[in-house]
Amino acid sequence: MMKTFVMSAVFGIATATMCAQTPQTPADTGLEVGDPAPNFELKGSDGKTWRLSDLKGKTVVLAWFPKAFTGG
Amino acid sequence: MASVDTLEDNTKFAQMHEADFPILADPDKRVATAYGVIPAGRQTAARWTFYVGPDGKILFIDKQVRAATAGEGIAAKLGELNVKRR
Repeated sequence: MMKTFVMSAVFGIATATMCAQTPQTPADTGLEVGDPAPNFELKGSDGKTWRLSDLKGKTVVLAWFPKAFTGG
Repeated sequence: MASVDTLEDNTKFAQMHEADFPILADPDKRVATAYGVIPAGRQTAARWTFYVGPDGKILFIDKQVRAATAGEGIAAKLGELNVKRR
């Protein structure tokens, strides 16, 4: 039990350190709160084509992630 | 969710996790570039989440997303932004 906890803690620190060593510093386009979100037209895993402009009137969460099959 | 993976990969990824939301594919990186999420010298998107309001304007940009708790983070942020639950 204790060993599991310690391992978890070590893993947590390792993860944090890795994050610290590889800071995500995307090329900043200067997008800020209040700016119009760039429109997009992308195909989704549900087979549909999604356009931001079709979603007016709804709140949209666009969560970018690095790579499929790598833990989300 | 969105990434610069192919549609095929993202579809398999969504099926594997039984995602109840679409995962969008931007393999040519055009949209990712417009959102500024590709770090210099990298080929994949950073883990940034954009919240877009009903008027199409950006409500919030989360640049500190933790993969393990991203779902809870989004739910909490939507609450803060006063987005009504369905």
